[in-house]
Amino acid sequence: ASESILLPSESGFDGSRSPVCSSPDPNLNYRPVIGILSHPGDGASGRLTNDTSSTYIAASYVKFAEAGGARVIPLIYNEPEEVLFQKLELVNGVIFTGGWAKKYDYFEIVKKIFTKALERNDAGEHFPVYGICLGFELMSIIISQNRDILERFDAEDNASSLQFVDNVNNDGTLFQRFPPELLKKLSTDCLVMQKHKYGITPANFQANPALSSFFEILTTCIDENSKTYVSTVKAKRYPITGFQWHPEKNAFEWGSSAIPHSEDAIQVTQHAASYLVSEARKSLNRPESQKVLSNLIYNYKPTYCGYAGRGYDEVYIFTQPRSRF
Amino acid sequence: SAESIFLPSQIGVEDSRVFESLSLSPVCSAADPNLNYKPVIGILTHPGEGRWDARLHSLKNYAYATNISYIAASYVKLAETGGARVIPLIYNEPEEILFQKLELVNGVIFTGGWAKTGLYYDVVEKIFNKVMEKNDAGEHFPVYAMCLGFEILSMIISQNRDILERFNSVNYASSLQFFKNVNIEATVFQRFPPELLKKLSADCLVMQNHYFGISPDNFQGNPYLSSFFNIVTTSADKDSKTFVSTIRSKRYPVTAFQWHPEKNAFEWGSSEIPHSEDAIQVTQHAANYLVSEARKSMNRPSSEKVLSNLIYNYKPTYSGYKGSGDDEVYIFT
Repeated sequence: ASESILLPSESGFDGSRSPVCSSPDPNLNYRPVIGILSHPGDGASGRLTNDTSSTYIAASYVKFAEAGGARVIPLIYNEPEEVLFQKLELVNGVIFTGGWAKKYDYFEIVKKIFTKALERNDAGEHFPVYGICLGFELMSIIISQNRDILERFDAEDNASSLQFVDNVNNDGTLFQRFPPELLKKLSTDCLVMQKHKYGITPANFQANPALSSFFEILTTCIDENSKTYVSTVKAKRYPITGFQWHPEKNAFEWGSSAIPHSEDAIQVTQHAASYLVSEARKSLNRPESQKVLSNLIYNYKPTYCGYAGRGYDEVYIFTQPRSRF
Repeated sequence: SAESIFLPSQIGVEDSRVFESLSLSPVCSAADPNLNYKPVIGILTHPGEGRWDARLHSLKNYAYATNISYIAASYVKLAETGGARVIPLIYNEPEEILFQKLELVNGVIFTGGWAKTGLYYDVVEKIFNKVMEKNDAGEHFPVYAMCLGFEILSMIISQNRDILERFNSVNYASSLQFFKNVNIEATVFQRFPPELLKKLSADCLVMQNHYFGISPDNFQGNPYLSSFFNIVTTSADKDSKTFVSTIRSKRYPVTAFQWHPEKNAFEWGSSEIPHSEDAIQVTQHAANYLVSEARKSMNRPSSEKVLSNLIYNYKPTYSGYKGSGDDEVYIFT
């Protein structure tokens, strides 16, 4: 039987006085904005636009940040750098999304933004980063200073469990917010979506001194050949989390029948989103409201590309980069 | 201090080979065949394009005259956050088309707004009657009615178009007071963690934005209302007058809110909207309950028809550029 819940009206609460709204915590920012870096292409192998300078963000990443209680500003990776970094000043955290681009301009921009994020944290401004799938892979390349750190895995379209690493303390990680029963299910059920060809084995991760001194391994997974790879990492001294898996897909992408959509799976998405935004609320960056409004993702319209029932359902496509400063 | 969380590796799960190939990869548990893991929620559009700065009278005339209707994007985001996709039900489409679309969904949201008379009211009533029929025929089919949706359901069920009373309850955050002797099992609140339930009644975590409501006395004084719904929570307006704020049907998966569960996470135009982590959780839990009810619907429509009717076929308009009103709306012409 479910335990009794003592409702406030049964536990002595005096309802005759209207409750006073508690004051917001002055140390928190209740209007957090997350920057999401756009990725080369249109997200649909060129079917949506002929513009070779186009970049995209899968709408699932936007919905993910919004579900956690943030607004979103797109950081268009091929905009003039001064514009890109002006926008970076308007946000309280960044998401590096999945994708495929591991070289050239995109890599360089990720590296510069990542470096700037570290600088802001070092200067005392709490500034979280989520690196998802490719985002995680690029952070691994950057930190390890080894472009060959990634290995091939067979993990292209499957739901998996997460195996928690021994002796890891979940306090201060995204898993701290997961209810105990959901944590159990994470390791016994297939509640997270994997869609990647690359990864790093735990042994190789730990053997790289730069990687292992920067990040702590939180979870591992096995691929379809039973080979183990690192699936979630957290920086030891920065609010930076890397996922080889896709926390955003469970609630917001429907194109693959392998994506888990149970109530538990949806909660995984929500808790992961809530953690990112709770970290962003610790950022005291308070940009000018008008500049934020001018740059929000609301200024762009998503394109439906999941009509055929596969690939991303919706993407934001950015062409002819523009600034509204 | 935070309570200890036992990780699987600390409660006996085989852990000696976490860094080695597992000898048995965990088997994905089979999906529950009694649940629908691709739920779709229908959201009924409302007359107009969502601009609130016009005076009520001229807005009403303008809205009905232009045949435009809208859905605030926050309702779409609420349903999607809960793990559903959305199909817009355009209130002024030919009725046969509207009801064909109703056959593609596993639950319905009646949104906030202002239209309490005319075609909009009639369509809500027809959809609601159809929903009752579906449930009576054994198909679990949930309804969420927010603000105006709550008000119209009250008018329909009570058979009294004058059941609503004026309250001073525009644009403020309030608490929810759980009603005496209420059992929250099978209500939206069953999924709320105990600590969040406490905060709901001690803190201002829900957004109120309405001119009308019903006092608990008048609600209970109407035999139709009180036999159909249980009062789950009440709230106080700015003059400390009490109104009913959450209700749940006794025998149907129908929940109505005088407040706005969707605004906490998804609307930023009023500085009164609560955006704390707790407030965001209220939105998430409310979304989860709706979709968990929709998963109990065994309606399995043709995938092609769903794909061609999804909200993805429409593009939202940024209406919050000035920092007020709804941030984004879907407009249907």
